[in-house]
Amino acid sequence: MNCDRELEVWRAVDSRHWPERCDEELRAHVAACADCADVVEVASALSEEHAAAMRSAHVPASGAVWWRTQLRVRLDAARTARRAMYMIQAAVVVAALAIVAAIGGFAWVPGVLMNVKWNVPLIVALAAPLALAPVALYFAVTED
Amino acid sequence: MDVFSIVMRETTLPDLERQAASEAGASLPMDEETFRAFYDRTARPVWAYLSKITGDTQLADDLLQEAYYRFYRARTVYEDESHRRNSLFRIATNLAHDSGRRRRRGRDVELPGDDADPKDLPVDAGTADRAAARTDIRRALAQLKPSQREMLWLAYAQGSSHEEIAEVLGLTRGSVKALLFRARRKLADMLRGGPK
Repeated sequence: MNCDRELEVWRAVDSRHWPERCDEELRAHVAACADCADVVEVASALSEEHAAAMRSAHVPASGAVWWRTQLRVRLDAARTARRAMYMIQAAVVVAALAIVAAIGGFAWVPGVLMNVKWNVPLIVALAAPLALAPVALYFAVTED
Repeated sequence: MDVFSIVMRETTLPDLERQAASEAGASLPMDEETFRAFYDRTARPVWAYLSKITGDTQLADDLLQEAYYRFYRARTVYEDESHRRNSLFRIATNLAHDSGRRRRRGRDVELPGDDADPKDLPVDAGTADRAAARTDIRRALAQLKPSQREMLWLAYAQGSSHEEIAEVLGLTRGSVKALLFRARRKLADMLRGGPK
């Protein structure tokens, strides 16, 4: 199915040695071998096409690609952080509602709320962690 | 002992981080210098590959940027050059497949051989015969299956080995050999004006 000399023939075509600078024996082999004749046909055409494509390739400068890559990495990191923040905020809201429900539900229990002296510092101390949790999480998960 | 301490003193923090990441089996992202050097070596072949397998130079421009972004995120910094290159071509191939699927879903079109109709392609510097030959190869490539185009381009335009093609296309070496044989025979017949 495959001839052992295909690589040799491809190298001759790719290095532009085919057919003039190849020895007679290789040319005779290609004339007699259908596989190698196919290699010559295909490799000659694709090698020309490759050279043309390489000439017409106008790729952006490496610095620009690096800069865009870094920008996207940062944007992705920010998106990931935002997603985590939304999830935590949702969890905080659920927790707050649960606390309110629990307090409401057990408010009748003597000694639970009656013994607590509700004042501003106590309320701030209880509310602050809930308010600051998303901010703390943002700084914890962001890459920068 | 002295030599060891000198080496230790010259070891920078990034070196230590790399060493630690390497020992842990993890990898750090490529630094700018390495990335840019690798890009300069590979961007044109990747663009040529993308433009030939998608048949669209504009799309090749977009996919090129995306391929390098994904390659950077893949963090293949500790692999050798050959694996790194194959990994990049594998990413480019997958992107081309995805864009092909999207295009087929969006509008039921056949992949063109290139942006322009081959008959309208300008003759740049070559002779009329060479231009005609290039028209023939573009038309013939357009009639092949995407996988055949990819395989033939990698093998005969870029000179990739069967192992490298297998790594890029996610096939076994044996499959590559058999599929490449069939694709080559088909293209050769088309170029000779034989059976399609």
